[in-house]
Amino acid sequence: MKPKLHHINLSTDKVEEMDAFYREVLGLERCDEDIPALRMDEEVYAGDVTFLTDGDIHLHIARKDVEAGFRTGQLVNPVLEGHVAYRVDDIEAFKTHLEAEAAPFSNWGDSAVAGWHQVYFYDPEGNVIEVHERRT
Amino acid sequence: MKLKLHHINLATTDVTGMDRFYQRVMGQARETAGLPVLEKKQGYAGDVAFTTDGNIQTHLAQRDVMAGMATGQVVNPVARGHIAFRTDDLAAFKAHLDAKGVPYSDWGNRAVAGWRQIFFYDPDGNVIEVHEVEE
Repeated sequence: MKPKLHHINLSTDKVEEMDAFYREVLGLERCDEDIPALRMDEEVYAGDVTFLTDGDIHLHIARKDVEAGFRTGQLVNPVLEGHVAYRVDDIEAFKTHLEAEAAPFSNWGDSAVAGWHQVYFYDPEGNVIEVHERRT
Repeated sequence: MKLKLHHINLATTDVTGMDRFYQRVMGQARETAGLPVLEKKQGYAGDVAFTTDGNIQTHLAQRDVMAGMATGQVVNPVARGHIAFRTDDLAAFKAHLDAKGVPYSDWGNRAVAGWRQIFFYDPDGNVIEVHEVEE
């Protein structure tokens, strides 16, 4: 399966203000289905996140966490500048594909989200991309 | 007036390299349907490549930090890219922004023939586009 856009993550110091803006100005709605079960492990990432949707694509507004890369030893920190997240149905096949394309990735596994196996990498412009498989 | 995500625009100095990456690594396809017809003589003449995951488009646009200066527009959507939503009633959405006290740059159809576009900032300074396709 080709990666399909699942969500856009905006990482911010102003979670409440951003959440209000996207609901009140853009008209997005809160969503409680198909959202990540954040482990809230302070050794990994325990920021507050709100989940919004336009009915199809989700918007995650996440507490910016500059230290998450150092804390976890991961080279890509997805909650520094935010990221664009795609879903696949076979993350192992996608990792093999990335290796074949010589695209290095940061393998977060399911350390941040129970039941989601996540990898993060950079596009040529340095934008952070997530690809995940939901296993629950 | 309900908004639906239409595309993600990534501004870049290497359109060809980004286009290759999004097709080869991300498996996206060349988008051929429903593309904006770029007006190249009214302030932005950059190259743009269009790809899609089958549902949402990715626009890979030549970065142009001077597009705001060239057009007199405060918000420059091709300096750092943007997130674009489509509405079926832009006039109503502009009235909504006015009521909320959110300022916006009204690009009209000067960048894209047949699309009327506005751009504004979220509280973090991310650039949001809302557009309506003209009948």
